[in-house]
Amino acid sequence: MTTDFTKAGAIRLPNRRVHRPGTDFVIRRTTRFIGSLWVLVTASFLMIHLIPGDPVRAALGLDAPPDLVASRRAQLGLDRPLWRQYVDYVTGLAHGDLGTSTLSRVPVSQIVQDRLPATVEIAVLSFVVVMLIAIPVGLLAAVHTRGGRNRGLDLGFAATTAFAAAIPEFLLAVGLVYVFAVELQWFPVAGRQGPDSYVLPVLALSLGSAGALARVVRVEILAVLDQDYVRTARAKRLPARLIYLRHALPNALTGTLTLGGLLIMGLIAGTVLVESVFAWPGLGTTIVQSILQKDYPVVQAVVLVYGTGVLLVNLLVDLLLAILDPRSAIREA
Amino acid sequence: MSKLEFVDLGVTFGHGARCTTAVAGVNLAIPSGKVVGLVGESGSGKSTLAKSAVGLVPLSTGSVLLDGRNALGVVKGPRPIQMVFQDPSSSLDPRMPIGESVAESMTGVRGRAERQARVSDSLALVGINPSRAVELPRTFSGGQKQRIALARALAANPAVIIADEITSALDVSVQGSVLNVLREVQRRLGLTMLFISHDFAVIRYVSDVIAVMYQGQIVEVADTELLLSAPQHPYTQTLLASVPRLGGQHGSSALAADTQFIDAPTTGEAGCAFRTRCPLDAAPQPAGDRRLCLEEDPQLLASSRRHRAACHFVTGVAAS
Amino acid sequence: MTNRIRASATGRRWMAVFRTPVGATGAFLILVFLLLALVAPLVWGEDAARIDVDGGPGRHLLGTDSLGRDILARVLVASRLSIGLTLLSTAIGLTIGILLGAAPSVLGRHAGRAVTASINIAVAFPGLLVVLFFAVVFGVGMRGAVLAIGLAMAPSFARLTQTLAASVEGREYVAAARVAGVGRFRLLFRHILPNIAEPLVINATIAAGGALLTFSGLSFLGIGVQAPSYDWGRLLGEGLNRIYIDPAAALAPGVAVVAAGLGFSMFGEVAAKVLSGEQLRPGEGPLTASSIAAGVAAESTDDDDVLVVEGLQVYAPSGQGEWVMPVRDVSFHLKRGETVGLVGESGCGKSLTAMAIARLTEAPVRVRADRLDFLGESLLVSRRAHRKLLGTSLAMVFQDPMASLNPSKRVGRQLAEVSEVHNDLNRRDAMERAVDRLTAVHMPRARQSARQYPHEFSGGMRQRAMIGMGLMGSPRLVIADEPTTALDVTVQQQILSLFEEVRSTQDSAVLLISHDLAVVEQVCDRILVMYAGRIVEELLSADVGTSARHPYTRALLASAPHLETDRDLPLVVIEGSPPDPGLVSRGCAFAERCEFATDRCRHDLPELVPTASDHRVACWHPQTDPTYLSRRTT
Repeated sequence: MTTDFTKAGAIRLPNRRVHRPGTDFVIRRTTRFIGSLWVLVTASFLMIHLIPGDPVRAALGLDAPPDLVASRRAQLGLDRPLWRQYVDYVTGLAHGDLGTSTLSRVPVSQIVQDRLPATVEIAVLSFVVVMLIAIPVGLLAAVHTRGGRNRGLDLGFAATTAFAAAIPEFLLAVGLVYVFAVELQWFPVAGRQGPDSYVLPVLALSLGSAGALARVVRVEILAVLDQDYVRTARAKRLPARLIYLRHALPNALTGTLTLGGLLIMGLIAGTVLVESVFAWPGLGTTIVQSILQKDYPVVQAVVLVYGTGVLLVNLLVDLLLAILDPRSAIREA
Repeated sequence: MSKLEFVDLGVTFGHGARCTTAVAGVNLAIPSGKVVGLVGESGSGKSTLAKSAVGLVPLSTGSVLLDGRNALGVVKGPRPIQMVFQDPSSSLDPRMPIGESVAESMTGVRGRAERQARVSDSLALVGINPSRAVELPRTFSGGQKQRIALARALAANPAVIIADEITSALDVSVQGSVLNVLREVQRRLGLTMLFISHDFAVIRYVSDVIAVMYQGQIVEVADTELLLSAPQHPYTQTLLASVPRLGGQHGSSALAADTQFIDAPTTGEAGCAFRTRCPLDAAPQPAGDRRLCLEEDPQLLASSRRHRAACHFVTGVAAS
Repeated sequence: MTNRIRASATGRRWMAVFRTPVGATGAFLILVFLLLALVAPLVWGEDAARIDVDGGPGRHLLGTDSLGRDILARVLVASRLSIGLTLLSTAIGLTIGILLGAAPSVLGRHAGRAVTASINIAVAFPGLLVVLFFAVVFGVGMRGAVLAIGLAMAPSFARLTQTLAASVEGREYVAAARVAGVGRFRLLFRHILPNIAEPLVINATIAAGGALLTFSGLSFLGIGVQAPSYDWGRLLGEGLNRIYIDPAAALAPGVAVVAAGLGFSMFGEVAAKVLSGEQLRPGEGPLTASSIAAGVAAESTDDDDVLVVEGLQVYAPSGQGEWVMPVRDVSFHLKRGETVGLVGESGCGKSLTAMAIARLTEAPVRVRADRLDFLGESLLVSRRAHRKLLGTSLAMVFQDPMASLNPSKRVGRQLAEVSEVHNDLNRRDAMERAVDRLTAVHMPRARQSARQYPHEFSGGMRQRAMIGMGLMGSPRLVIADEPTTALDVTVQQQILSLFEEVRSTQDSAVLLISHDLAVVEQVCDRILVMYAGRIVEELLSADVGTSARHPYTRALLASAPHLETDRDLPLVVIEGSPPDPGLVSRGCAFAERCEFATDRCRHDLPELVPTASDHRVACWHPQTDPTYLSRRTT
């Protein structure tokens, strides 16, 4: 009889009885989002200052003429006090000003505008594919292998998904290119022209995550099937279909969604590599090129965009969880 | 001489809107060498009170006194107040040989030999073969583990032992082995003890005095036999009436159709915390008097009533 | 001495990891690549650097790269850099992570919170993004990449360390050590770190696999290892440009990356599974599904018999992969309107008996019986055919009412679906019935309660809802498994009264399983005492206090303290504990704990035989001396 006062039975203070854990939870999560966003902005601002030595020298080379270096420094605002630069940076961001590329002299916001859609497209498509594969496969695998039945299927599922999850996206991309573009010539090797060109990048991005998520779905469903309330559902003699779809699946979604969120974040990051393999005109190729060419304002901006995307997904997943599973909000409280 | 006192003790958890009060102004004294049993339902605050005595939960008001001095002041070294926990399988480090766990709470030990000797003594005291000191907890049964936990508490040479539901994780068949050892040790060493349980029969067997806790407050305190023979507070009466008795009535007739729902405790507000569950509600009372239960906290005059009962309708006054 | 014991136990568990095929493969792969990392540059170093311009086919197994260097040799040699840098960055990440994660345990409350908050924020960003960030800060190249990957791994290790440490800190042995006066640092090093070391090591292994892939990715992009050095990622990047001409140049390093990565993750995951105590599955059992005895058609059933059980056996796999029989031979019957109790210590097979009777056991557990008739129909035939019968006529109530209700569904819906499925009611009518049934179990504000979730209920209300669920049909039998164990005594009385009400209004039979003889004696007409998978005594509850015959029953009775126990005598104890289901002896299972046991008890199994009407005992030395009573009443 451990007394746990977060559970029922504890006494609430009289005048504080009305409170909604849900609202609390939303406020807390939004606060965390804003805090993280601030950290992100500050980090991307500091990035340029953390680089050992002079970033302008680093970009232009050691033998660049001093007046060019000086003018570039002034143009980047590096000659002003740090706090001033920070204020300028944040105000700039608020107005949609992401700076100017040191190489192409194009406003970075323009570059982001041009490149973002291509990245969002494959990320979203990949996520849909991941869900479409992982949930049914995981559910079926759980139902057919629970309690040690069908060991062959169990082993096959474990091996396939482990393999899929262990191959990094860029390697899978290379393999896919070799098989489907070079040997079979069904799909283009690279570029973004027409629906055909989406197939390989999306597959490369989604197969690994689908394998990982399918494993999680299976484990979650198995865990739920072990719960007492599933025993209750069986004691009610509900048909198997209802037990799995109505009682097991919704309760397994919490864990699935939590990991699903992590996977989307992984997907977003994975675009960097996959885009490079397919020469996909998105933010991923942009950041790699910019890092290699030391075009720091672009790197800063892309890190910021990627980071914000990830944080937004995070927030969305948390809020969705709170709606789907009212207990998760309360548990935190 | 070691008298343990809880003075105006309050414990709240959380902040602001999520604030819950677990213990609300408890005054309780455990005379030196006596066993006070604390009984109550889950969520009544028993365990929190126990933990507050060893500094495992922060106090929000009041103090814990040992012989009149603050018992929580000692920061270093073993504390004079030791605790035995509910679940023996989680209260012993699974990766530490039991002898080491026991040794951990000892003080003033010089050298290996003395250390070993004292571990052996402690284990022998609770009926565990000292040669098993090098074994890990998992090789022992539940009852044995609980006795080892007791040995660990005793090794600190404590003045006070707090026993928190120490048999509720055990089968009734081995419960006795722990309670017998506990009682024997308590008597032999003259320990002061706070013994917590939800089981009236167990509490009665071990304790000299029984305190009944409800919603974070002590609602009745009296010598064991007195409290059992003449419970004053309606909550105590309800609890006692609920204890299933062997050899009492049996078969279907034993249970009247008393299925009416009395479940939700009153929360907050002025007046008596027990009033929504109070059986006195059903009894005919002068309407004017019953208003007291709504308006006045029965804790205020509790010390002047028999058994310090926190009820406006207890007749008679406190003896001496 | 103590260390040896500890080491051997740990060693045995790790050996179990190597014994699984997946774990062994993983370990083998890791070993091979570690060896390669050590020796490959020495053995093939020259081959990898030699430029063979006119290298004909056959001289190079996988061909040559654009400069004419042997690809196979280069891939082998690259393992040193790939593996070495991976391990280095993992070590950096692990060290920083553990330091950060353990900090809150040692620091004060506020500093600890600040660390936790920063970890939470850092974890929110995906590793690759953090890697790119640090790669920019530290500069493109090998050193930058190692630091970047190491730092990017740190937050998740920190989070893991912290979560693990927090869970260990919640354990009572840490609280106990605190009370014993153990200091913060000793607490961290003696109690917390040893208990989280294993999962940390396992996760580090899995993370090393991830680091390898990330490192290859960076080098592939040109951000990691720079020419003339090369690792697998760099080889892959170079090979990709020539994938049309020479696929091997791209695929060979790819295979190496995948094989090494798989090695780490396979080993790590198996280790996680085995060491976390997940049971390895036993082999095929002594029974197959078809060997469940086909029930003898119910013959000459007493009309009053609701349930007849004969020769019930339950087989289950033990943790060690053997089959054991937790329920060995159980026979009894239940009549209409009768309440029967099933008592015994934990682990004696009570719950499994209930689950087997209700046909709720699942693979791998197997059930066999000579006869299992419910309302005159044999339940041994097919489950499907009895779905409606069991769904409407058999009600189950379990111990933990919170866990037994689906947390994500409104209580009313959970009741209503019974009638939707079995009585073809539509949603609205089913809900009306649910509200009606909730009213029947005296649920306050039933209509409102039906719309609430289980977590909004108190323990007593949840158990009422469970009983209400059973009343959606018209139960002929209610099986209640420790229905009041999780409840307070005052609520216990209400729930027990409710069972009595159900029994009398519905004329159902009730099978009440409990460890508490006092509860059972109070409520039941008849009592079955179970020990080690068998019924050892069956008697009327009226006789429990006066004429129990089996030493086990008598000892159970004597050991339970009650409100009249003599406080001056020590409590009665049954020494020892019930035998493990795998180690039940040939003779009477209670013999080793029994003060009356003789050689006969140890060798011959006593049958359950009638000693009087309504009284059966399985004992060679049934006791008649009434003194056990004097010990329990003064």
